[in-house]
Amino acid sequence: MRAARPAPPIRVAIVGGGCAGITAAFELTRPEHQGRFAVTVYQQGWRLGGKGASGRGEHGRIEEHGLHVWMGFYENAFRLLREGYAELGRDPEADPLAGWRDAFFPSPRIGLTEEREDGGWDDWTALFPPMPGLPGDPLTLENPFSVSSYLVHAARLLATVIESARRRQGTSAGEGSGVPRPSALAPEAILENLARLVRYGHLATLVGLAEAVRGLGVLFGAWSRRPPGRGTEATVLRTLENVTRSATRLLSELARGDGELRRVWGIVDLLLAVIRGVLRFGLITDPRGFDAVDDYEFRDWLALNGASRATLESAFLRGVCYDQMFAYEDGDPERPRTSAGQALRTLLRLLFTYRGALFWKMRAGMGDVVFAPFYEVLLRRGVRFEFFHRLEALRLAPEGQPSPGERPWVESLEMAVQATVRSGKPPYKPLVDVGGLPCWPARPDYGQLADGQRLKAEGWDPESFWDRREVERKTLRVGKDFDFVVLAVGLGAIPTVAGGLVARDRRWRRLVDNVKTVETGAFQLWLQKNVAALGWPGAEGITLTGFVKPFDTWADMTHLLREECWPPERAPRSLAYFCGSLKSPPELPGRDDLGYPAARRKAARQEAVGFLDHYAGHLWPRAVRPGGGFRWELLVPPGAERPAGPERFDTQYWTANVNPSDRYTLSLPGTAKDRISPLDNTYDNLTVAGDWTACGFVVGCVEAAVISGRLAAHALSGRPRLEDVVGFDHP
Amino acid sequence: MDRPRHRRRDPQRTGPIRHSGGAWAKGEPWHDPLEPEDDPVSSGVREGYRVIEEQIRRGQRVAQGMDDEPRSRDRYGREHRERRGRRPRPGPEESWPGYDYDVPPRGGSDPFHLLSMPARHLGRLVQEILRQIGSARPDPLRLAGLLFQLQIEAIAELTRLGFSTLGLGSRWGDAFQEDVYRVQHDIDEGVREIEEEEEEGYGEWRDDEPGHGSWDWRGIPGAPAVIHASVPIPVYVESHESTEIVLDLPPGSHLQSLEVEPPLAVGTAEPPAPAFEAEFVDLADGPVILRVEVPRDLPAGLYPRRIVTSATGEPVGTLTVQVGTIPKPSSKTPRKVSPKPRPRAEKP
Repeated sequence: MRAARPAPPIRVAIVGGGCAGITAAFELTRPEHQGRFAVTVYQQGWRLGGKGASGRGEHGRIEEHGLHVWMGFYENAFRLLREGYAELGRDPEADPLAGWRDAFFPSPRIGLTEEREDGGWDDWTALFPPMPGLPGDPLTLENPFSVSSYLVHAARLLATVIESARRRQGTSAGEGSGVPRPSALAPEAILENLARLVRYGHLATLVGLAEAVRGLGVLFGAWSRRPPGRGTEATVLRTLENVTRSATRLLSELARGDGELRRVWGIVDLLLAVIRGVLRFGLITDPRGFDAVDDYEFRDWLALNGASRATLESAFLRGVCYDQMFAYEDGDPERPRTSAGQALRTLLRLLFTYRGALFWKMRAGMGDVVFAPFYEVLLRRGVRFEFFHRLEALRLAPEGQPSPGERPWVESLEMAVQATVRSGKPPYKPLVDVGGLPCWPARPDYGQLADGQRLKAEGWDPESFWDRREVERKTLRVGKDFDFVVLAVGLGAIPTVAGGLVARDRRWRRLVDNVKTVETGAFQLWLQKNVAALGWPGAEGITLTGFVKPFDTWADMTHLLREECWPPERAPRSLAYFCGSLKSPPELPGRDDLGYPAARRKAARQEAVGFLDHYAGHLWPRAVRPGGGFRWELLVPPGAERPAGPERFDTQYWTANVNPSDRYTLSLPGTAKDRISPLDNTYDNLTVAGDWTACGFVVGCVEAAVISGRLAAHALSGRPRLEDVVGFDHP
Repeated sequence: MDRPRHRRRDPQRTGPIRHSGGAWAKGEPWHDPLEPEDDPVSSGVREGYRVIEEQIRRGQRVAQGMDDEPRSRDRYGREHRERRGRRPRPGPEESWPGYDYDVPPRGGSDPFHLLSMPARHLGRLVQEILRQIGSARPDPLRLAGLLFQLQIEAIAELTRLGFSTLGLGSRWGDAFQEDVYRVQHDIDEGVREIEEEEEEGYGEWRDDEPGHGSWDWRGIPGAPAVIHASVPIPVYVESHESTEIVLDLPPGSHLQSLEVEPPLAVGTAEPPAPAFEAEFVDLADGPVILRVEVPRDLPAGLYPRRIVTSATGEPVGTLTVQVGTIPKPSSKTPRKVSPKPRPRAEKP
């Protein structure tokens, strides 16, 4: 008797090789599936990465889509990364960046800038202490994702912050020296001592406040085991009002002439408003979790819960909840908008669930330390990669074709093949070796492509939405070329590639109409001086946000220079990244607007040059001339040409991320409900992945993309279990 | 080769579990890994001891810092009581400084007798402290006592609240409620006392400022409310019973121009039905909120009301309030249709 033939593998077409698509590929090809899925990744252009792509230019210059820093709460992303590196099995003795800890390092500081009334800027660096464990470690006993645990942590942080304020005041008030009795002193000394007494009174009251919030922490801790009893919430609210009132009065008085205390107070006030809001809006027990306040703009919601105007305009709130999330509608600095529910989820996860460090930086470009290793691992697992494949249309089976009770399905995928490899050559090899590290190049390897030199000479850009050159069309058909589709392109591309779906399905229409995206911009400077020599007074390696729009975030990425390959005599001393959202038209430009990308790139350049001329001096006083204006000679060109003046900027790297699929997805108020879940089963053979999906964590970031990729894999295979998608079940 | 089309199975679910109860039910709560894990009562008691002892130490430091002459805790407490004009109470724990109430034995369901403590609002105490500091002749001892009392009382109330959720509340039962009212009474007494002192001329510290922020949110009587609203609007509920609010309005309703219709139209002969109060409040510099106030004596039941435009009285929606659990119909009432009692409307 012959053995039964094994079932043929299920063919999965993953369209898009960003974080979400690569995650889905990794999950579906786990050895536990025993080859049940045969995965093909279709990728436009020459490299994986999507919004996380990077490339190596001249001298191995790392050129990125933007600044990428992973947060210490990216549990799913780090877990996947660690598994990927373990499977990669690089030799620690021979290979650079062999393990994930070589590839990522902790960065506990965040810098914030705040504009003074006189037009100057103050910088403030906050150090977030290391927390136990490492991101991606198993969560064995602890469930950090509950409102009560957040409240406990918020109360603890409040107590710490107030205590630190007390210590500052204690120092200035001469704590421990005792308070002399007024009657024993001369009149002027009495006045002096009364002033001290006032401070002393503040001090002691701060002690009381610190204890009060610590008591709140005890109470919230109790709630983690048992829901609040009858009447307790109201009493706590009353107590909180008292704490707030006292704290407001005292701390705002103390903070009036003390910038640092004022910033600390901003955080206290913010956390108090969050706690109050959580209680007032019943978020502890609301079955919708934080989505219950998704309709509110975050700052409006904070104001509703008593946050002061100063707090709402504080650098901390602006920097952490808006600038880092590009949360400006249409990139307009005057329209900061983000959903209260999603901002709460992000802020609380950011502050209270990070492990190791608040931020983790990469030792090389994100493409090098994330996508190249995964490419190699997936290749070994048998995943096929089809580069230079641009999805033109996802087509559903004709309406009326599904029988009653049958779900509609994807009938075909129409692909434009942008380029082919030269005849007789093996499949396109996308990686290059830079100092022993497999990396993505910043340009396609024209040498491998048919007509490569012509394409190069013509300035072909296969990543551009507006460059429609192609060598052939290919139609992939269900049952023949694929069984399932994972649509893992950027949200901005959906109207173009899935127009039929949008036209037929109201939910998809709502998705593309209501969930908005924004263009982002970034530039990188290779400088002749290190940051100290440029005049930056703080520590190296800072990530600073809240600065001038549009390039409101600066990161000192000097550590990356070690991975580049500059000639020693021309090696730069520092590397600076700037990024931010670009003010852009609300409507996506059409395909026929061929001049759009060049115009936007030119505009981004002008913004960057103006920014350096006018504002770089606030960060780097020695990088500007005495009369003003940036010292352009500080920039290190990669080539022999050394233009003078602002033209020197053209030797650096900058990008305007205007391709629809490159646009950053915003979490505007009231739009979470318009997203579509990877678990949605409306279409029999289609699932979605990307940080724009309803993946539970509705914020544009690597973690959301990875969660969505895991969910997409679950939708097709039942694995990973939803309970194992860390933080998916979350208030 | 063409193959039959694969079909996905329906997923177990299509979204995350948002309800914290899920986390309570399934997972362990977050705790500092460096801290030993305890049962809630033990950890609460331990925390309580730690806080109180720390306060005692701070109080001693305050007392010593305010006076060159070292004082015993007995003497300090006695002087403080005498200044307050209250009867000194003897007892083994009289040495608790700055505290003029009985100190309980450490045991039983209320180990620190915290329910008896005067849970004055922190703000009032701060006000009194500042008044002292700002006066022409600040009394260091009085000030020290107040500062210490501020700390103790803040913790006292919070710890009391903490205990109430740590599994002891059920043992207190009705006594707990009585204690709450008594504490409220103490607060009022304390406030009156301070106001009397103000009238006697204790400086200019009249700092009875309104609530922080633009709006004065009153304390919410303690009962959970479940709210279902078809439009985004903050709903502010004051109720002593569990309450479910269902607000049904068309999207885009102009909330400023709406009002909740009274329970009975004017001119009907029927007796006025028991009612809840409800109104749309346009907060200054803020959103429109819906305020619902359920009187304490309103029987459990379902109370529907119409929402009308203020200008024309045209009905545009409904507001339904379910108070408590609706009782079953009396078994004595003859029923014609069904011999079985109808299922009760339960809260989700």
